[in-house]
Amino acid sequence: MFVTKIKAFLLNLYPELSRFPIFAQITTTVIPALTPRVKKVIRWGLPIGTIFLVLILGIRIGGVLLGFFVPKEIFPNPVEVVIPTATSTYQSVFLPLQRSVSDFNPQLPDPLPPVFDEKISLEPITE
Amino acid sequence: MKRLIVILLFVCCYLLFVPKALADQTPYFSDYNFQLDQYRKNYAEYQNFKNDYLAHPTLDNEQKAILSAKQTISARELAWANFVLVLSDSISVTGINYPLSEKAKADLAAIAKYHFGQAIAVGSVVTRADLTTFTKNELKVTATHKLALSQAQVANKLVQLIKFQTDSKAAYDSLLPKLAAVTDEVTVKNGLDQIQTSSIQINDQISTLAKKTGDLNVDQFSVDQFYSNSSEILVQIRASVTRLVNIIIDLDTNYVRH
Repeated sequence: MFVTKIKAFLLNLYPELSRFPIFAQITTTVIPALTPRVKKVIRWGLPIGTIFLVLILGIRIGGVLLGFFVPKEIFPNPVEVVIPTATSTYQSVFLPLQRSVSDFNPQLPDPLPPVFDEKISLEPITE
Repeated sequence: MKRLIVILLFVCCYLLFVPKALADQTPYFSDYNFQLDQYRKNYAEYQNFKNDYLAHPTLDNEQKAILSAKQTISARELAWANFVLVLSDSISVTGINYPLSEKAKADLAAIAKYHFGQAIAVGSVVTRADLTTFTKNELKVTATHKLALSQAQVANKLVQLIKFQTDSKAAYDSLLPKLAAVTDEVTVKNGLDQIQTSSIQINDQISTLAKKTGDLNVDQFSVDQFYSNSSEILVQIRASVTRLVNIIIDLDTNYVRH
């Protein structure tokens, strides 16, 4: 009886369903009369509500399922704290001497002697 | 009016002292460079005139070649003189009095004087024969200068090393009282011992090279061989001085309370 009422209700909302034999049998059944406004609201509201219902249910089910798969907690290794080596900022007053020594050129001759023609003459020079 | 006088005084001071200060920095070096440029220009001309003369030995070409040769020789002699003074100046600037350096300075002064004299003497060259005689005499005299110049080159290096030694000694003397509190520490004790040992070793190396240089014989003298051998010893001395200075700096940095 309840099923019949539902079918009649749906048929009232969606007359297109009368094409199906299962609904054709109750085409003549009297169902509570609905005002056109209510009928319109229910006609569109029912699928939309169903969709929302399915979505909400899906989300809730997904949430419950997610609870079964709790990811393992990962704890990162503690970051090593680099302690800077204590360095002295003192600059020795003898550093210029060290630089002078490193700049010292041990190669000879220094300064390099110039190269000249020592035999300037209009005649051949024999030493 | 007062302001004007003050400004004028400043300008006068600047004009009087600044050019002198600039000139004092490198008087011989700039002269040397100038004369070297002159020589190069004159020498190129001289070669052209000489080639012309050899191709066409006319009196006119001969005179042109002789005149150009005289100008070239004059520039050459002045360049040599200034080069010698550059070397002498490099020895003097250290303020070190060492037998080898004193001898070198005297030799260089004589050589510079000779070259300045030759720059003037070349003016008396008139004929082709005069030029040949002048050049032959020049070759004889400059051959005797080679030994003195080589000794001066080594003396120049040695005075620099002696200057390092005196500076290191001054550093050591100033450091010693500051290390009094930590003298018992093994590292400090070792460092001070090493300074003593190294300084004696460096002094010996310097003395040996100075003696070897002073004892050079003109007859058995090869410039290249002498420079090569001396350079090797100088490298060793520099290494010793570097070690010595490093120890001083290490002690100063790590053991003196600043």
